[in-house]
Amino acid sequence: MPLTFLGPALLAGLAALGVPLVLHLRRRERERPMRFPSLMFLQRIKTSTARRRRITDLPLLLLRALIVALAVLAFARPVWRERAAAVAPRSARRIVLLIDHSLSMGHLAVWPAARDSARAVVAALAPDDRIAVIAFDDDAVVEQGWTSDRAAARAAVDRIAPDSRATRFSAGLRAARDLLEREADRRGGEVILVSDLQRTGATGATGLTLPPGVTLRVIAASHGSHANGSVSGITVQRDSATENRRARLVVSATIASRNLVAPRATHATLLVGGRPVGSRAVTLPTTGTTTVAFDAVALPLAGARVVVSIDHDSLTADDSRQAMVPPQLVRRVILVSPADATLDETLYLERAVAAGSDPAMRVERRNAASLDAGALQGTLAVILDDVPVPGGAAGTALTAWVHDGGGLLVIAGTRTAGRGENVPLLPATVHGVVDRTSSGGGMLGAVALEHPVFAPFRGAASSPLGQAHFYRYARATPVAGAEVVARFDDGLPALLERAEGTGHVMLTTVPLDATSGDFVFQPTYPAYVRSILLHLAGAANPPLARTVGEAWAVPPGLHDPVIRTPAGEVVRPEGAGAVMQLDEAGFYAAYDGKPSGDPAAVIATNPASAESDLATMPAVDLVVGVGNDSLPAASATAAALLETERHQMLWRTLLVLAGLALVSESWLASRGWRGAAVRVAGSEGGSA
Amino acid sequence: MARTAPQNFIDPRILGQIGDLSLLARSVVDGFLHGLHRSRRTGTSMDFAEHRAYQPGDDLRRVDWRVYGRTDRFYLKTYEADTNADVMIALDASASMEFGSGAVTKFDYARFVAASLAWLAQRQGDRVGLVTLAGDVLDVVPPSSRHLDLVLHTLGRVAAKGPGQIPATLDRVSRLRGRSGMTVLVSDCYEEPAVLRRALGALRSRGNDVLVFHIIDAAERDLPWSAPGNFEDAESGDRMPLRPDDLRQEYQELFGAHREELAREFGREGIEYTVLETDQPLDRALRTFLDLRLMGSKAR
Repeated sequence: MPLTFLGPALLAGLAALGVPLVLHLRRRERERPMRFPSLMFLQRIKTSTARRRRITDLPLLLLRALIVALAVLAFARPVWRERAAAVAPRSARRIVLLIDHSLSMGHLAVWPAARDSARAVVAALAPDDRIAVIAFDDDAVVEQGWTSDRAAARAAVDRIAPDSRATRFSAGLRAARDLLEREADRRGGEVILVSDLQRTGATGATGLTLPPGVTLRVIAASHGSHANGSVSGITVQRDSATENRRARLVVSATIASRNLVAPRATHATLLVGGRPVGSRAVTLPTTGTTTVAFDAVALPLAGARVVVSIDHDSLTADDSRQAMVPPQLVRRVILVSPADATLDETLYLERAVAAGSDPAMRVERRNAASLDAGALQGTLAVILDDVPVPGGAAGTALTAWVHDGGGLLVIAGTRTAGRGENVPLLPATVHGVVDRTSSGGGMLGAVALEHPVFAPFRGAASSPLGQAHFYRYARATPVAGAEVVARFDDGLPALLERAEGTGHVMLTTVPLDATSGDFVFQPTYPAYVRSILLHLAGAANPPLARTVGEAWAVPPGLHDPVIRTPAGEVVRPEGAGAVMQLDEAGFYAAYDGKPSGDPAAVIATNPASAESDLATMPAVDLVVGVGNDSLPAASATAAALLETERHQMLWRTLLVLAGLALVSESWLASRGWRGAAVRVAGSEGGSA
Repeated sequence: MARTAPQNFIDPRILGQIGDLSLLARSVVDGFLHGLHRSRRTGTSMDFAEHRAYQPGDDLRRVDWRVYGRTDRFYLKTYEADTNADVMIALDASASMEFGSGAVTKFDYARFVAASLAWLAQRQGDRVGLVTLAGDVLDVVPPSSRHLDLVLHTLGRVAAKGPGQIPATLDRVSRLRGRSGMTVLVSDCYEEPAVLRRALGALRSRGNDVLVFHIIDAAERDLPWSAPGNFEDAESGDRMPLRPDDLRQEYQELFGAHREELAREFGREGIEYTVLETDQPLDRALRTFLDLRLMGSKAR
């Protein structure tokens, strides 16, 4: 069609053509009749008077309808397309080919179609067209910069393959926009997006705008939402029972299914360390999730690579899921207690530290003088239980160890309170003891529940530490830079913290023995002690698996880190502490020096579970969401049309014609019998 | 200061601006008579005509006391020159009269004619009466030498509305006339000529001279409009969508044939028929009236 409109919706205004007709007929109906002395003679002229003409003034009606039509056509901004082609030659075409290669594109029915579509776009290029090829998932990579070489573009398309990452249209569109805006010649352009249009990938695309004159064309590689089954999650629990002194693992997996035509039978298989150790028959619902629990298995000493997989379907990349269960290490905690301490003063503390297995802690009793760098190496935390901070070499070693990231817990009891120590390493000075025996003991008052130490107690209905009573406790005064984490109900500090270098020092005046209170008999006591130690050690449990796309900080202990990726590729990050992008699903193993032997660290990576949802969206949703300038165009770009419309200005011609028609209408309506107004007393004069 | 020629007072465009019918009528008649250069009034003659019985309202000075002495009855002596006639003006006050494309409507023009005739008749010594007709007899002013003011007053307040039905009402008028005289019908004559002739013939048969003034507006004669539209009958309210251009010629033929038919029918009955168009001076009506009056066929 040679004539097109920039605002075709306004053509709906042509419905207004009915307005003159309706007005014409209604005016005629409502027209005041002309009173005439008698119709005696007129009634005798039957042949003429009997015929009732609905439209009494066809020329005027047509003229008025023409005015309306011209005005509507003018506002719709018509463009003569044959001229558009002349104004915007095809040589100006710039095409950015955006190819989605996220995990969902690996569907057997999607990727071949997507690749063929991309190749067809390249094949349809004119010799003077320029194209750039971008592969995107939740990130974008320019596979081929601007080129007119179709072979190079074809090669770039062939290099792209589906990966394990999630879909983010915004990433690809931003990359395309940047590429277009970096060009010196910014006249128009077209972004061709080849994708399965996975709905979960639309996040962030709405409101994104392309440069003026650039249109977005979407080629859907997937028609409709495909059925898919996937392993969406793994949970691993250590069994309290042991097998040959080794912990046992209880693995369960969540199997998700979407858009199945009918429930489907499949098998879920558990692999630990690469060996199948369990299998379960599972019937997947058409849409929903199923949880599969496997029998408990013994955890290898070096940790375990756990994989749960199901029978392959059309999208294989999400049919398995990995987890890395760390080895069961027993962390050492050094306890320095007074030489004259009774069993009641230390027994509960030791038992509380050793309680639990995640991680397991072992108490090693030492005297203060024996603390040196060697003894502190590999220690989770050091507890000074009512003993002064050691001086001399031991003090220096302890301070250095804390400064380098160690954690020190100082329990201020009656002994240290009596001495009134003021050590720079501590967060408070302690001077004197508060005795509340006569008043029934004190309790905790204000507590900073947001502090990680109290994370296990945030759900407590009343006091975080329960109904514990403290009869005697040290009076502490915070030093500058110290944070009071908890106070007694009399306002005195109960727990303080101070950072020292990269390490932390905490001082608690809460009695942790059985002689100064009944806290040791409360169920919250072990959790409080362990929570403080874990916080000081910075030892949060490592995740079982990470998501593809995350960054991984290479373990700091490796002098010459070497990473083996899930695909078997060996990567050497630049020194210890480097960050590596996790692009693949599977197990990343870190080695020191050469990639052989036992790895120093292993992590598991899985694709984002949302990528398994193959629900698609209409192409128009994406096109509309991206911006008004990105209306889909079959061949000519909107930019060319805009430019042509500016040159042609057909609307102006139409408005001039409408004006002329209006003048003609006014002239016509006031001439001849239409303008004649014969005054007749007692009636209206003759008028149309 | 230039004086207005008396003839101008009979131009309907000027008369339309005069609200007082009495002044209007006097101006018209005086102007008309002045133009004749002679007075039609000849009351100075003492030629005895006859005796007639006294009627209430007659001047007692005219009573012939010698006859009274002989007969013990009141008789009046009448003379040839001042023999009075009853002039009854019948005014069509139907809604169709309320139409006008010029300075005055047909009804205004008819009232001017009636007032002028009444004034002229009064000056001639006739007794003037008035009936207004619109579907029925609306107002009746019996002929009397003293009723001029009443006639003019009635003419001043009457409005044109309602249906016509002149023939039926004329029958009632004929019964109202106690004695013969002159009956002047002022109407637009939207009736079948034969029917109207029969109604007026009843008056004629009772010894009345009948004079019909047919009032016509130029627009209703020519149908000059071109615009299509709804035409509404002023009396019945019927409406017709019409394109006048398509009907004009045939309408004019029908209208002309109607006038010719009226003239023919009235001629058969000895009824004087005069067409008056509202843009014409009034002198034609007065002249016609005076000519008929002075023929004296029925003046007593």
